[in-house]
Formats: sequence, structure tokens, C-alpha cells
Amino acid sequence: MSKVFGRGFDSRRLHQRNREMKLVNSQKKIIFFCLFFVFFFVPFLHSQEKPIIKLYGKSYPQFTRIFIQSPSPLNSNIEKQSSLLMVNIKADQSYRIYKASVESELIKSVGWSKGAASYIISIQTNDPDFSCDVFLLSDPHRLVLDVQKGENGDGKNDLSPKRETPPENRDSNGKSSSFSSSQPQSTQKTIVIDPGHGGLETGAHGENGASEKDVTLDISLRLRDIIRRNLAYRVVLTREEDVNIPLTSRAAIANSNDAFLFLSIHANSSFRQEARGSEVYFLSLNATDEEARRLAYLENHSSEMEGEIKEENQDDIEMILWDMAQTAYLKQSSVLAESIQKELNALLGTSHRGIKQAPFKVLKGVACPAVLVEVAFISNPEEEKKLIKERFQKKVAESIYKGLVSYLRRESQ
Amino acid sequence: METKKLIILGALFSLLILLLVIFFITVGEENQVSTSPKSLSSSEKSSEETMETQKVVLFYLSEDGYLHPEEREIPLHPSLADQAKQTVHELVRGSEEGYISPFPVGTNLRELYITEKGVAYVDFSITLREKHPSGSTAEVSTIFSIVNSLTHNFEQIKKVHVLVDGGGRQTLKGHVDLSRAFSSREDLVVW
Repeated sequence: MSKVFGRGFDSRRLHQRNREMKLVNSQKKIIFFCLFFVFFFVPFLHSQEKPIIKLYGKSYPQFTRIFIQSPSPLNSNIEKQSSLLMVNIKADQSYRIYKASVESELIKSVGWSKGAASYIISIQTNDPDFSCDVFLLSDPHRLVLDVQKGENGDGKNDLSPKRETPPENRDSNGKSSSFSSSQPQSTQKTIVIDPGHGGLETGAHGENGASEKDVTLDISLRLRDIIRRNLAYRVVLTREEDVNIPLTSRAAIANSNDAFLFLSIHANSSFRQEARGSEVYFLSLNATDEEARRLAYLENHSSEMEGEIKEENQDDIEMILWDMAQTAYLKQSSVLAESIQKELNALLGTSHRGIKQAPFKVLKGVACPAVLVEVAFISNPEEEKKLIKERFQKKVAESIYKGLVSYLRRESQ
Repeated sequence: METKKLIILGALFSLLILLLVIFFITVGEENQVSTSPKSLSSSEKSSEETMETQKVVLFYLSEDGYLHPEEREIPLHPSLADQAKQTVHELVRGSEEGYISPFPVGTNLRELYITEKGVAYVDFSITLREKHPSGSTAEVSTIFSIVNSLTHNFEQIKKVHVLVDGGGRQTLKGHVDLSRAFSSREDLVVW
């Protein structure tokens, strides 16, 4: 009897559980379908209706130029409040803002907020004593703000846009320059040298106590001096002292200086005792073909996709794109690596050594041809001895310089 | 009229089913598979015969600067994750044929799990980082000894993400980027 009862009870419970499970399952299905719809169709519905306002900047020695680009003519109103410049742009809610790096020596930060029928772009400068020239350009529609220290060259602070082409460059008074093409500042490109490691981040060590961080700084300083003496390039070092700079900041220094070339200087180490000689690296795409294709697509279509990406995610997308900035320069980077490797091979008697590729963090975000030079093996006692000697450091700097020059010659042809 | 309506309804319903199926498949791919032997197929049957061994190829450094293969027998484990774990355990123990082990002494494997997309997350003890000699060449050797050893032996492992002490690291020791998973590098191997 109890058995029968028990079975009946069990089957009833089973029924109930089945019903519950079915209910849960059908609820699940509905939720998944809704999610499916939201994920797959909603972006398509909206993708064509979201014009983008782009914010980007370029830093010149005398001023910073900020571009505000829009698919439609810009209707703006600009106000200056102490060290803040407020740009009010009429645009409805459907517009999206895409902000690239704008910050410079003078521009502390650029932010934006959404009004009822406008966007307010706030430009925070480091100094309330600044002036701003405003220009309007078409095709594409752009509002150009030239922000500079001190009073405007015209003596008045007229913030209504002028319909003319902004000057390419100016002289120190901030006036438009009539000989912009021959201006040294507009043609003087920047080479960024990155002495590897620094501070507590010592890098590799030699048996006799030499530290990678010291060797890299010494060689970098020598290389800087040689370039300054011989070439009309501006040279910026990512560090000039024994301090640690985060790897991503090193790339950022190159990009914010609009670097033309990036050279990261290192001293090598290996598990092999006999490892010796120089190794010049450029970035390896640590990605499968599929991933590379996806990234290439992202880069090519990023402006179209911005409309589909939520504002709060845009920074991430920008980060990912910047993270892979080097991918666009791999060919040139390999040529630069080859030129330098050849010179260092001659110096160290490793005639047949070729260039190498590796997924180095410091190279990934650099938006110009970039290489990492492993001068010699600090882990090899013989080479360690050489690396700390002034004469050898000078020779290495000269070899890198020669490689650089031969690259420049090749590129200019 | 009724039949027409039914046909339309039927068509809509089948479309819905199709979309759901597609959706479930795409959602399913996102889910990670833990080390539990849930996703095992063929190797599960042989779980009874634990005394069996399987051959794996480990990649160690040689004085020529390249990675060289070294065959090793490991106990046959039922799960892919356990096989991969055993392989990495063997790898960090060092070479038996006189090659150079690109791992600091005392390096241990903490955990290893494989996602359904074929990314192996390999978590090493802090020793791998703290006792590592640093240097570009040394870091490249360490990383691709691990990556190639896993991808070569297990078809299901497409990429390897290296973790240290339970977390992701920006670099191994100042050079090689650890923030993304690695694919194998055949150009570093001499057979």
C-alpha cells in the first residue's frame, strides 16, 4: 500500500517538476529570443541613423589644433571661461561622439556632455591665459580650434568661426605664417628613443652585476646625441633618468609626440650560456589570420561601427585599436629592423643573423615604424663586460645611427 | 484561408526555431569548459585503463637558439585538461636529453583549463616570473616552449594564454605581452 502510495506521490512530484521545468524552459526560450532579437537586429535597425561627431587633435610646437568633425554643417557657439573653452554644437540625440586623443602640453583634458539638442564639448587648458582661433572647413565639415598660450596675435579674442583654411603653421607670435612649407617645425620629424626598463624594473642582469636598465639608458643617450648632431630630427627619450615608465606610457609618449620612428633599446638575456650578438625585433602579430582579419575590419570600418557601439564602450574599442596601432606599420618596421641589424652584425661579427619577430608589449601601441634593439647579451659574461664600456656603447650607438640613416635613405627613394 | 494561415504560422514558427538553434549554438560557444571531464568524448572510454601511457612531444631550447622536440611518455588521462596538465608538468621538469629548460628552477603549474574555443589558460606559480632572467630572447623561449608543446600535442588547443599566480600579467618580465593568447610559432622549432 505504502509502496503504491509512494509511487503515486513520486510520479506526482515528477509531473510537477516536469511542468516546472517546462515552464522554466519556455521562459528561457522567450528570454533568449528577446536577447537574440536585441543583439542581432536592433544594431542593424539603428546603424544607419547615427551620425558621428569626431573629436581629435594635433599638437604643434606653438599651438594645439582641435578638430570637431561632423557629417552635417556645424552650428556652434564657443565660450571662454577662465581656463575652460566651451563649444556648444547643435546636434540632436541621434549623434554619437567619438573622441581620439586630444591632450597636449596646453590642453589638459577634453570632455563632452549631451544637452537637449546639443553637445557641449569642454576643453580644459592648463593655463587660463590662452587664446583660440576658430575656423570652419567643409568637406568634411570641421570646426577647427587653434588653441595657444597667451593673447591672440590679432589682439582680440574673436571666437566666431572664420571661413578660411587654417594656416599650416605659424611663427612664434602666433600669426599666420606665409612661408609655412619651409618652416622647420612643420618638417622636423620626431624620433622617439625608448631606453628599456628603469627604476625598480631593472630588466635582465649580468653575472658581474650589470643591469639592463643602465646599459639601455647609456646607449640611448649616446644615440640621441649622435642623431642631434647629424640629423635635422627632433629626438625625444621616453626616460632620461633611472625611473620606471609603464610600457603603455612609452607608446603613448611616441604617439603624443607624433613620432616618426620608435627605437626601443634593450640588452638581451638567454637561458643559453653562449648566446651572443645583436637581435633586432619588430612586432609579431600574435594572432591567427581570423583575428588579424577582424582587426583589419575594425580598423577600416571603425567609423561606421561607432554608431552601433554604446558610448560607454567606445573607450574600450579605442583602446583595442590603439593596442594594435603597430599592425599598420609592420612592413616599414621590418625594413628599419633589417637596416639596424645589418650594422650591428658588422659591429659584432654575426654576419648572417636575421631580424626577428616577437609579441613585445612596448611595440604594440606605437603608431609609427617601431623596432626593439637587443644590443648584445648581458647574460653572456664577455658581452656584459663590453656593454658597460663607454667605447662599446658609442660604437653601438653609431651602428644604430648608421642603420637609421640607411633606412631613411631607402624610404626617401 | 485557414490552411494559408496555418502555412504562414508554420513558416514563422520554423524560422523562430531556426533562429533559436543558431542562437543556442553561438551562446554555447561562449561558455567555458572547466577541467571537469564533461566534454570528453573518445578518451573517456579508456578511463578504466589508467596504466596506459601516451606519447607527447615537448619543446626545449638548444644552444642553436631554436626549440627542439623531445618525446616523453605520460600516463594516459581521461580528460583533455588532465592530459594537457600532465604535459606541462613534464615540460617544466626539464629535458631528459640534454636540452636547455627555459624555465626557472621551481616553476610549477598551478592550474590549467581549456575553453570550448580551444584556448588553454595555463596558470604558473609566481616563480616563473620572479625567478625569470628577463630579456627578450629568454622570454620568447619560455613562452613558445609552453605554447608549442600544448598546441602540437593537442589538436583541440588552438591558443595558449599564460597566467601567473592566478592572474593575467601585462608581460612575462618586461618584454613579451601576456595580455593575449598565443598561437604556436613553428619558425622557432628545428625538427
